[in-house]
Amino acid sequence: MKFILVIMFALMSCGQDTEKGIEINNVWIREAPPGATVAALYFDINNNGGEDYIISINSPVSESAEIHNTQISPDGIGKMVKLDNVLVGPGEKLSFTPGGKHIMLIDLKKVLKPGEMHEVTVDFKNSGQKSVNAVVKGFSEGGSEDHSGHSMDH
Amino acid sequence: MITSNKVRIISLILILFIAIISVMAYLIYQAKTKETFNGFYNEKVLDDFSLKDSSGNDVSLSEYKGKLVLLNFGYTSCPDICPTTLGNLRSIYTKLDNNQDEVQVVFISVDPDRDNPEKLEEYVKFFNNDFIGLTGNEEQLKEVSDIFNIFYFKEGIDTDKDYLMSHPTSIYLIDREGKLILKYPHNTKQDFVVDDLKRLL
Ligand SMILES: [Cu+2]
Repeated sequence: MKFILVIMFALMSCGQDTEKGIEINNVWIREAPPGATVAALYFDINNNGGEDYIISINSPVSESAEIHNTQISPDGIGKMVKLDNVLVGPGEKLSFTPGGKHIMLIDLKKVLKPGEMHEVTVDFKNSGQKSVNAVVKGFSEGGSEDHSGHSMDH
Repeated sequence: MITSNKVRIISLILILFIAIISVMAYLIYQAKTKETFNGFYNEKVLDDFSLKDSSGNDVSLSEYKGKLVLLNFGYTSCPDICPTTLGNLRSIYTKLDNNQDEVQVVFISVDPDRDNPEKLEEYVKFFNNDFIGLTGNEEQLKEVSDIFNIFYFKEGIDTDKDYLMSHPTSIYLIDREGKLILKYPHNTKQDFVVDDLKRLL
């Protein structure tokens, strides 16, 4: 009996492992200043499964959402390029961060206040839809820090 | 005879040593006085220009003479670059404490079609009440672009109301005489800018 239980337990945890597939962490939206109709959404993707693609994003806070990549030319001119999808290779860790890839939330339906949580759905080509909670960060709490991610005030 | 030779050698070494030290000290001194700033040194005399503030008043660059000006370009429908820069400027400005009145932060919108003065005002003041938002008509903005040797344009189809824009991402530091002196690439460490400002204050 004990033996069967052990096997069952092992199988269960096995199943959980393969189920893991894609993880979405550190999901946050930068507080939108008043007057702004757009905001940026950032997150980290950890792919423990096979090759996949982010194909779209949805959130009740905005009319639409697009995958963008910020590019800055050597002469300092910046622009955002719309991406149709983003490849997340097997075992790949991918960060959407300020100055790089981000989700542009277009035509905000409401004012986003620091500390609020909003549901975001990320649609993957193979793994399907995954819903996560995004926290709104203000400019004094990480929304304006340097790339290193550490606060410079000691 | 032997001892005087020794003295001669020792004094020669001493003289040489002093000479090397002096040259080194001079080089260090020179490097320091040449101001080794964190930003990219980019000296340029700027022609005066004028743009509109939120009350519809004309504001010209020369009005800020006597202050250091931190200037950047963007548009309020920019979710990534502009909030990052203004967020950084907000922190930089806060770190200046009691020197704040000697520094003016100016945000120039290159998207006057969507950024009317009221909207721009609300946007800029959110970061800091002392910040100023300016914009102008195409002609005025063209003049400013020529002065700073920059460019900006709408991306994609003009009829789309959600168009994106290409625009300069650097912060420009203008000295008290109205001369451009330093340029900071996008997302330069806040303390790098603060250090330079403190040297100039
Ligand atoms: Cu974008």
